[in-house]
Amino acid sequence: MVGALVLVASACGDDAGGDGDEGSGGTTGAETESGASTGPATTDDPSMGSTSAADTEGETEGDTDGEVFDPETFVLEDVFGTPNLDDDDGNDRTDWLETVFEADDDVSVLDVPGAPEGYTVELVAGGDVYDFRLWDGDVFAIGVADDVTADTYSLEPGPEGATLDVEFGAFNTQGSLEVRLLDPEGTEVSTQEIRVMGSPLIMNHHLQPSEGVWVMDVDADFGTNAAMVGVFASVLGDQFDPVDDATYGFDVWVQDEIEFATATGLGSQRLDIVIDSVRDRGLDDFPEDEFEGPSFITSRWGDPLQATTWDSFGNLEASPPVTVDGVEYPFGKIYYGREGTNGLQSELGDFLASQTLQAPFEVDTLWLCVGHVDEFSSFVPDPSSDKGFKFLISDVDAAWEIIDALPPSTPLGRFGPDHGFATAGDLQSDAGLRALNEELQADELDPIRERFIAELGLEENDIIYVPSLFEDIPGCGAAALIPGMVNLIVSNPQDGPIDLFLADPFFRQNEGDQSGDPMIEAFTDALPEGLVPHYVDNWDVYHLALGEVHCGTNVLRTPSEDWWTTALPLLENDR
Amino acid sequence: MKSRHILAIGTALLLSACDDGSTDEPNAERQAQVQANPADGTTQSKDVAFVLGTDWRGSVEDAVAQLRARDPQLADALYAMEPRSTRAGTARFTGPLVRHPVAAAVFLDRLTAEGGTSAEVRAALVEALPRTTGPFGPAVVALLAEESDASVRAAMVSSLRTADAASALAGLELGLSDSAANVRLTAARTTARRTDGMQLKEALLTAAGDAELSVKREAIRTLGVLRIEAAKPLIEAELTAVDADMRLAAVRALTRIDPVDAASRVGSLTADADPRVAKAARKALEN
Repeated sequence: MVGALVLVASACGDDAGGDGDEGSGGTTGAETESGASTGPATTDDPSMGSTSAADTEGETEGDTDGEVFDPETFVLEDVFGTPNLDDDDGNDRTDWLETVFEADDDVSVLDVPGAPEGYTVELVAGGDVYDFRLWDGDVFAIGVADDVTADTYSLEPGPEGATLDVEFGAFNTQGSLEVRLLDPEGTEVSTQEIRVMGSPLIMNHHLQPSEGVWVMDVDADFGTNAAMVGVFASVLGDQFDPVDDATYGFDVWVQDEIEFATATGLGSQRLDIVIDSVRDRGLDDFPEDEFEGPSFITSRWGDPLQATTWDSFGNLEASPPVTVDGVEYPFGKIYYGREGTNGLQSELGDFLASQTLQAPFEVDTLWLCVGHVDEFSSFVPDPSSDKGFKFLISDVDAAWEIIDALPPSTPLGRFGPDHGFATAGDLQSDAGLRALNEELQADELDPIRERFIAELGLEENDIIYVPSLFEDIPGCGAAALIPGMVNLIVSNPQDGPIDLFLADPFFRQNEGDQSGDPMIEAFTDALPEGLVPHYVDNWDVYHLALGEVHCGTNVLRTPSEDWWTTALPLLENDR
Repeated sequence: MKSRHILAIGTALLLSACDDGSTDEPNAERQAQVQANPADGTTQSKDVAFVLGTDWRGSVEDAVAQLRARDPQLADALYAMEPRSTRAGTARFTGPLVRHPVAAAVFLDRLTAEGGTSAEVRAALVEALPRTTGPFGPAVVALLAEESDASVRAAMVSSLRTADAASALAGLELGLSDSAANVRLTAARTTARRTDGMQLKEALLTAAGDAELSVKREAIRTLGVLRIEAAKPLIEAELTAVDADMRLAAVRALTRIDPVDAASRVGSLTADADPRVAKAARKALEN
């Protein structure tokens, strides 16, 4: 037996034990849906179960009240927690670097059942031993703390049992504990192995309930988005939070600066994470100013000195849950723009891949001037469909079908001064533009659509083709000519409506009459029932600067699944 | 008053204007005054018009002088305006202030001002000219011969897509023979965007023999887009090019010029090693 390493520790046991349902008893083997059992009585996993001497030798008489102690009842449950990477005590030090304290809500518990006096429990850590640690009250038990390491620990739980605190120091920690129960003579009477796992970082997708929407409030010489902000405010109310853009150097691209993610654990543990882009433009300080605090951290991967447009997070998204070739991805799959050595920096890409659950895949975005996946793809909820969503992809043929059906004299309002197309006829007669878009469809969008179909197991009826045209930005690449409707955000609060916010294409003369806009009509008609589109004016502030609504917004969402009940096979198959 | 982009970038003209309170109004209000009806370009702030005469420099000077006299706030704002960073990180002038014919005069004046303006800003000024709705073609053609930076010349050539025909054709022809490959490439691509582009047939045929592969490819593409029959033999020869992008451009160009004839010539490319070429060839056969 390895002796306990006593460190200076503040009291933690009571709080860490949790209040109410924050104990470790929230999950039993019978409750799991994935087939991954958490208890020895029902496990199918020989690596995660228990054997008992009593299986063959019968029950053991205990030393209290003459009751018979059955070692089979000595069962510990798996521990699934959040990494303790925030700063709950506000002392500017990550909690993982401190001893546990009362206000720390990212500490999990390991409940050790009672056993007769004289019985000893030996814990032997396995897996990512140094990314989790155990505390027995004030006593450091297992893991790493203040340069002291230990991978075994013994305790006498006594008839009342004991509670140990468990902390995780990293995302996607996959640890285990071998639990050996020894009788007073030192004979092993039962053994089991339990999982001790820290949550992976999980990126949000559009089917998760929204909790808040951020948009920069812009009033500058390059334009104002007051009308757009007004629509957001009236539709979203308290869920909307405009931010003064002047504070952040008139950087309007709040999608590009941050990507929201979560980590969760038993007992409703939740850690929100802002993946902070290395792009470091005007909004560089925004995530720290707006979000950092208890239960909310900012982290970054990559090198700011090597940052390119592909390191912005309009170029990093996650699909809704999918099943691909029989494999369930209950948190969807991550996708981002990268082709060969160009794209999202590999440090972030590799980290996301290491989280396993959302199996990232790459998409070619090099053909675009900005180069982000949100310029041609998105997902919207579809409550009436089996999959629960529709995949949206830009489609130039759908746009030409509309344009070619218009009388050539149809005036196009804003397209005249800002794009050089005063009428539909101007578009129809631009052979170079038509050729460009035909080529982009054949060379880029078709292969991209096929890649999404293959990576996400999509079928034709899962797809909505969004009328889109691109223009060439000399020396840079393609960009949306018609304001990109595919570049949208989904607001879907728990038990609330499903609102979509997207660019008003202004494909008409009368700006005030959206009902006369054929692009709006086509998009609205293609939407699943129950979704409410809001076509907002993003022309000056976003569209003319090569972005659209999604680029200029961001949405915080509620975690919707427990990874330990739905995704353990993905994690364990990876090891 | 809310903070402003122009304040943040510290431009002296507007700052001085703000000091005396003359521009102390929200940008949205200011823009509404200026913007009015950008679609037809008829509204002009305080009746300042801009028409390019034979002497374009004189026209610019006159228009700027009128603007300074009649609407000094707008003049200051346009002179002080700096390009914003697009989502791609490139520099671009956008917004209601740009969308005004007289902005073309100011931007041309800024382009011809001596010193102090970086190539990036000059390129952005040129890129914005078509969006001013003001005239700019003759000036750009003249400046094209004077501009030393190739990226600015490329922007100039690109801006000619919406310029008056005489200026556009003259400027694009200059561009097709520019010393810089990216200017020649941009000229070829821009020529494809004009319905009168086939008037540059000879220059395009010459460009289709350009030593620079990217220029040659773009010229072949444009010859196809403009359906210039005379280019068929030249394009057909590129069906066996080593460069897959060239073969792809050739298949597409032939298909655009003469779909029936192309179908008889691209059959072997349906098995091309490059899937894009093979796909384009199959599509040509389907036609």
